[in-house]
Amino acid sequence: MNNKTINGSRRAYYFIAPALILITIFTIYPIFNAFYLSFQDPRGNLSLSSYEYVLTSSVFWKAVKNTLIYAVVVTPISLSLSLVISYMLSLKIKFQNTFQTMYFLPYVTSTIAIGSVFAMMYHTNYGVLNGILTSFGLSPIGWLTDPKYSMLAVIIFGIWKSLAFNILIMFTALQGIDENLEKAALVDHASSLTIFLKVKVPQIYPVVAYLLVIDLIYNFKVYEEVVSLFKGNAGIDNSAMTMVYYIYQQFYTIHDFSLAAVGAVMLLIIVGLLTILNKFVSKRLGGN
Amino acid sequence: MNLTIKNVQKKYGDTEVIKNLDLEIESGELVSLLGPSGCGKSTTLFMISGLEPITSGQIFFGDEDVTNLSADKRDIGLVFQNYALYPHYTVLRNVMFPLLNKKIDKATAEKQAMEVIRAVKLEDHAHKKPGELSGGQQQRVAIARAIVKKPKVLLLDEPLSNLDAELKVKTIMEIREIQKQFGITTIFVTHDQQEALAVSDRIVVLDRGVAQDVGKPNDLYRKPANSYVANFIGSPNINLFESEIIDGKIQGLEELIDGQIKIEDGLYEIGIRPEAFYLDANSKFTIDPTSREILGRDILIYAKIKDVDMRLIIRNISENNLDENNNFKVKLEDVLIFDKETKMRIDHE
Repeated sequence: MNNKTINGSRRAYYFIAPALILITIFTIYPIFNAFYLSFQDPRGNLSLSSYEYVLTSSVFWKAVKNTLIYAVVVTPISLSLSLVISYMLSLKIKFQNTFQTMYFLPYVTSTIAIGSVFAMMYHTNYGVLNGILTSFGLSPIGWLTDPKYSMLAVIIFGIWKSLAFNILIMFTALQGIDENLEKAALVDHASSLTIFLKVKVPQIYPVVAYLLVIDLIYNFKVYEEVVSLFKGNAGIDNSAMTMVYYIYQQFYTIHDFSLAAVGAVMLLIIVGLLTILNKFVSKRLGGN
Repeated sequence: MNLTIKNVQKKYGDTEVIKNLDLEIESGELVSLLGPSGCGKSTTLFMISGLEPITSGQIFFGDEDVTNLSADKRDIGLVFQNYALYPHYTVLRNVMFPLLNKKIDKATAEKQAMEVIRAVKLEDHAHKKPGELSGGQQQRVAIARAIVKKPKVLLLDEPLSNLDAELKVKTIMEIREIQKQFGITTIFVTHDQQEALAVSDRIVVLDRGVAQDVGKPNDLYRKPANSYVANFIGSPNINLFESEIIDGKIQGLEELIDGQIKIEDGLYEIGIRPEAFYLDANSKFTIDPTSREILGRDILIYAKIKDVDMRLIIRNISENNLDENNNFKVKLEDVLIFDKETKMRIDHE
């Protein structure tokens, strides 16, 4: 009996071995290797010199600041907008399917491609955004050419891009709510706003909490948005520098692997802290 | 508040779900809508609630025409089959919800909610979430939520179908008690005739969107409007068969039934309830049972009579006793006669 169980679990290990080997090679090894790299100086000796360099670099701290601003601004705005839009999509309206497709489309389109379109929309002289601004008598903004507005441009693009996935998940969750709840609320004299805020939204809190974590972590990895908007740099004077862009730059442009590894470790620490915080918060919420 | 349904019709596309329904319900009355699934009973309930628009006709609460009022303006209490409690709120908040929506201040709302929660005997559970309660308790929360706003009409959509048999009986009595206590005009939708018979002042039997019969439980049982109702009400089902009646005698059952049926000679549909049979040593009518079922005190006998499979229930008898006696009678007044074509019941006394 006991023997059988042991044999059984041995067989189970054979079955998971292929996955384990792949994870070891492509996930676990790189993590440890990054740590190892981060403690190497240019001559290959163990040292803290890379940390010293990165942590005193103004570009790195600009990257941290930009990344924090991006994640903290994009995540809640995107989640709130998604909530409202997914709720409107879940109502029985005309052309419901058309609207759904429209909102889900960005999810299946490449960031680089949309980024090129956004870059055109942001163009100082010919862009549609400045066209709108000037038609209201406002002066045009150098979205991509004025360092002051670089991050704003990335943030707007980021919000727009992250809507699709959030809407998709929230829409599905809203569809899953017992429709009798809404009928009961209607009979109970609830207004549309009350039905939305006090009856429907609480039912999808777990999904919103899940998206909050996913989005926050995802947004800390902002990179493609910068590349596609600024066509291969991080904006004028690194004004749109982000942590992942910094890592990329150290690795592929400057070829200092140790500095890139330090950047990666720092990002890992931030995301790790976030994950712990999230565990703590969701425990407090008790899954309600 | 009395309720009037006038010539109400409901169509989904070309399908007519409710055909010209007329119904008068008196203030404080409990009326059941009884019928098989798909008969239109829930549709009728939701039309009264305002959640389902009607195709034509009118609905009145008292003298007020509510036909064009939306559900939130009709002042009804509705209890759903699956309770539809707000899972994120406590019992108290669930019951307070309709009051708060009516802009009643929180303290008053809490006081009124607690009164109703006490009436449904859930005061010990007021601060629990619905998920922590049993099915029967959740059902009572749903009822409390429905009656706390003192609605003009209380609508119950199959409120017992998620409960086990024992709880059903208990909950039926509780619903009846609460309904009497608050004096609310109530409509109760069910497919279960025993629930309907137990709880209702009157029953409406619906089939394919048509009210087949409306009446007190006992009248529906004793004097059903037609053979459909006769068959639907009563368990086990009534024995229905066609037979010639000549000179007031059902052919082949002359010995079973004493007296003369006052009806023209002809072919009729005859109904005899299983429990109408009784043992009588003086009778010359005997049967050849195919099988028996002991129902505790009573015995259910299956037998072929006039080439029809019939069910007989003999009350309060032991098997030994039944072995010794095989002579049966049915009283004349327990024989139901229906027109063969229209299926309508014909009085024969």
